[in-house]
Amino acid sequence: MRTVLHVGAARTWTAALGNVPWPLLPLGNRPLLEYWFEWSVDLGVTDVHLVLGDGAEQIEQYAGDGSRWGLRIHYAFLRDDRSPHSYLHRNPALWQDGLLFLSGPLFPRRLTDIRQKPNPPGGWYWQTSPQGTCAALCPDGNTTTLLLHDATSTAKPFAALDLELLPVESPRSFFALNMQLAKGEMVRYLAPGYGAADGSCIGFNVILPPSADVAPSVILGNDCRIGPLASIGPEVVVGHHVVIDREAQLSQCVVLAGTYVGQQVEIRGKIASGGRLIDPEDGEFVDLQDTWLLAGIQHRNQRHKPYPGLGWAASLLLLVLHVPLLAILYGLIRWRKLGQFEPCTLHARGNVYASYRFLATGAGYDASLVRLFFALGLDLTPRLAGAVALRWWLCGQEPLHAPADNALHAELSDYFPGVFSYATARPDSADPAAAAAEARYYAHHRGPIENLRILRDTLKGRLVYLLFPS
Amino acid sequence: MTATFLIKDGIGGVFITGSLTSATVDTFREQFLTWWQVQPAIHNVVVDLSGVDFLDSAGLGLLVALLKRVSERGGDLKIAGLQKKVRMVFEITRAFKVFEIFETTQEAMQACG
Repeated sequence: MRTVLHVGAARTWTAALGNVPWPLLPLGNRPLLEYWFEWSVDLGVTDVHLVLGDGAEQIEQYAGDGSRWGLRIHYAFLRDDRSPHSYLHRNPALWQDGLLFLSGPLFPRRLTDIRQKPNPPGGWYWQTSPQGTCAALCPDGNTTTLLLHDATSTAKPFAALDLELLPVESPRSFFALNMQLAKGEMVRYLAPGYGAADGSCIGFNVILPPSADVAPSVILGNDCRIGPLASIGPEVVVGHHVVIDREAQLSQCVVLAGTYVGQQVEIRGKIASGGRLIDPEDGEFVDLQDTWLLAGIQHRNQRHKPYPGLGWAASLLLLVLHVPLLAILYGLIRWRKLGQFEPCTLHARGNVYASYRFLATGAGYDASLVRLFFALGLDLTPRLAGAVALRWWLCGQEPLHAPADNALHAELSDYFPGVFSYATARPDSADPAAAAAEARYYAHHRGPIENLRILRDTLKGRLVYLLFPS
Repeated sequence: MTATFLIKDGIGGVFITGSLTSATVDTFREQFLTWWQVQPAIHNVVVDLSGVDFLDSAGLGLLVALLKRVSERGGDLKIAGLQKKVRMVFEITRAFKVFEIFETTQEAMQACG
């Protein structure tokens, strides 16, 4: 069985919600496309054909090769003057083992908590709408032939599968669907254990102070910060990486990813997207971009942009200072056999590079010469050379080793390897659990102040090690 | 941003057009305070925002400051004629709890009387 998802036809109403194509619009904090992929997986599909058009680049960037869902995604394009069905007629033999076909923004709402079985009951299923959305589920080749010959009178409605395919064709229906999920339906789409008994779903890395009031049911995304005395709920969907400042009040609203909600702001019955406030009833919006009220949060990919030149210049300066000191002290250390640099392979910015790490011998750790070597940061000189060669930043996460840390490297959404890290502030930087926790923390807190903190802690930690080695 | 001031039945009327934002609040504050000082007999003021298409936190802060000035003289400042976008800003800032808001200037003036 294969799935064909036609996502190319643009929808003008989505412009009010931001620069996101409709297949990636979040419903309960997950893109619509992800629900389709999960439905395909439930049906036992392994090959998905994504027919792209508007927003193709963003969709391809999100879906990738499909391996995240255990799928193989094949991309195709269709000219605007061709109907979605024409893609099916290109190569009918491909669909002879069955076909799930979806075209247009349709949300597969589960009417029960039970997931779809790989083999749906006999017959085939069909739904279409005046807005041009279309869905068909053909479990085998015979029913696929019926679809290709437009024999839709023989099809059954999707309700027979305990499914309701809801068209999302306006800000109002987008908002209503999110409210439906926030009322407790979201748990139907989560793996057991990821939703609370009251229907709420809280993401990872959410800071929720004790004085904040969360009234069920709510959906909170990852990396959210809630201020003291804030009140959230009921029926609130908060996207990923949202900051809700103190005493803000949110109820029956949708706050999309990357939004800052100011102090004492009250959002009720609205959609907030960055600095934009949208009335879902008519789609009218006001662009505030006001840090006292509502504003967008800097995109995480832009966090390193304001100061790369400064970091590079500082790396070069430190390297120039290090080289003569290294020549003298490392020569002495090697002569006394207190330690040496050993080759290693590290994940860098976009690739894997060879580098060197300093390893002291057992006696070397106690030698004042090695302590001075560490205090001056000379063990980091090879990394400084790498920073000058733009392989890593001046401050960042502890560079991950390849292949030992490949799993963590794949898991991190943001990887900023640095010469100086939280680990360089400690004399013993070989604790993998601490390194993993720090890498995750840094991924969400990167910024000039955090980098200065790392530099300060490294300097302080190494001076303390020099003066008080015990 | 332009502001027009008039007096009708002993009630001050302020008609604003354009945007009331951090870029324009200083101009409007000066205009209002100049007018307010030369009109000691005026106690109640109606601010007509039907011509205002955008308002930010600075604009809202100014309205609150003006409300305080008017209250110090024993009067009240009422708001009239909110456009949809400005109304949305009033909603999220809970300014409805601070100001009395009317659909039209006429209704607001009647309420002052």
